[in-house]
Amino acid sequence: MASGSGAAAAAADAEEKESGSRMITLTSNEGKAFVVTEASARQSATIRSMVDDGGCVDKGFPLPNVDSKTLARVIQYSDEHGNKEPHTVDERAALAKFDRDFIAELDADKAFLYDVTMAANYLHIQGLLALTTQCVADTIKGKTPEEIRTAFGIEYDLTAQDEKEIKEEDTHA
Amino acid sequence: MGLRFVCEPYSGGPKRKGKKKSQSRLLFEQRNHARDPPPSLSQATLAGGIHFHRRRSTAVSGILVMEMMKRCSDIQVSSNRPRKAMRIAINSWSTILLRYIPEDVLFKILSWLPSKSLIRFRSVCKAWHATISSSRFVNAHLECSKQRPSLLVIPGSFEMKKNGIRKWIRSVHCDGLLLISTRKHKMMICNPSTREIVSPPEGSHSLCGGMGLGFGFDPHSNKYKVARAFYQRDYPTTRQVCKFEVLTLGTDAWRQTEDPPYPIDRLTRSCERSHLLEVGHWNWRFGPVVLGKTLNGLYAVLRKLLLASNKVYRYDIQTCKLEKIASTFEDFTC
Repeated sequence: MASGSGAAAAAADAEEKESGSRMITLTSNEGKAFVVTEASARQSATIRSMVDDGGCVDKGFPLPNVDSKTLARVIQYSDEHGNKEPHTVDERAALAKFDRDFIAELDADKAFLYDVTMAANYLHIQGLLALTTQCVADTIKGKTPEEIRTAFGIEYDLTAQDEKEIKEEDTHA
Repeated sequence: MGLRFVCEPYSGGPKRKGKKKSQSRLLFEQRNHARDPPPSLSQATLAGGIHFHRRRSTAVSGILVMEMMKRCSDIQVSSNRPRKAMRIAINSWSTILLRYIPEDVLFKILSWLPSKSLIRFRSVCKAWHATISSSRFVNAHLECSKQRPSLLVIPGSFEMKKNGIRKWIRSVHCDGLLLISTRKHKMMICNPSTREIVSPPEGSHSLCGGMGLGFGFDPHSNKYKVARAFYQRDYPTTRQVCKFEVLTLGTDAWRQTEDPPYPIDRLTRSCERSHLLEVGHWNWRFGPVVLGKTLNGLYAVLRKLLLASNKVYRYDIQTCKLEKIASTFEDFTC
């Protein structure tokens, strides 16, 4: 038993060392294959756990919820964040600039922003999800409740009593 | 770009006149000077502002707080894009957002919103109201706010002629909450982003004002706590002695703890939830104290104080014990 687990640990270590250079294939819902480094793929907690659980890395990972255009953009983000580890101030600044430019492009195309947000959520890429949700928040922050209800397709379900309570909370605040 | 200070409803602003909630709400908006020269701060606007704060807290005088709020709000909105541009964009984003947004993604989006928007969005629907009011959300929002910090500049002292806070000592803060105390020991805790003000119960009477004050978060009890030093005359020796008491927010009684070994000058650090308070400690300096009156045995007291100068003591919130830390005062003031 002991020797078995020792061997497994050694294998895991070897795998760990190897992992930096290992390539992983991600397949979009249109069947298009994207080959990325493992470091890049590990930006996604979903893929990371599949890799760590010994999923079939060689066969690649099909991503039925993500289309090619979105996946390409997500990979652009995870390559930047996964393959490089910023050490110096300049490198960190460059990464911050990349994030700014990245989100500025998405901000211009709201439909695409939505797709990337959903993909980031599905793949559990926290950094990207923070970036995109922040962008959506910036878009909606100046809106009125009516505008929000229209935009999110929310039905107005507050009773007069609720309204009164909210108003009171405001007054007592 | 310039900042202007207006009281809604105003003529050139967005069409919100019909809304019930906006009638007396102050709005600070960023405008372009060239296009839209800001009106001067009229009497009416000022009066509106005072009224606004009196409504919130009759116990405190409004003008100082209003000044503070104004500063805060100015800073808060300073990064906003002009409202007009956002309105034009509404048609393009609204159709997109109609698509399904999972609850956890919505939670994240809401976490990034400024408090001002969140206050407004409570009346979107029941679900949003429940989410925004939940303690889980409040914590998540605090974490997000830390990643996008905003700056609040507070004047060191403020003098009012009538009805105001004549002087206030250095305010202390924690998690964006401000604790302000007057020399007469009246305290208020204010959340500049939501404009909420609460007045904690008054502490024990002190012989001299402006003594040490601390405000922090105790992760063990998940509560905010206020600590203050005060001076009392000890009988029968009739000497002034330094006492110490703690108030847990949400309760209405100050709890006296063991007496500090030296008179407390002021707190050095009281706020960094992530830094020092993580272990449930407050740190402050014991140093020479300038007392208002000459004391009996002054010399002896002073010698003791000088020896203690620049030493940092730590007060453990949980065990109510004081202990000396090896570090020097300067380590905490960088």
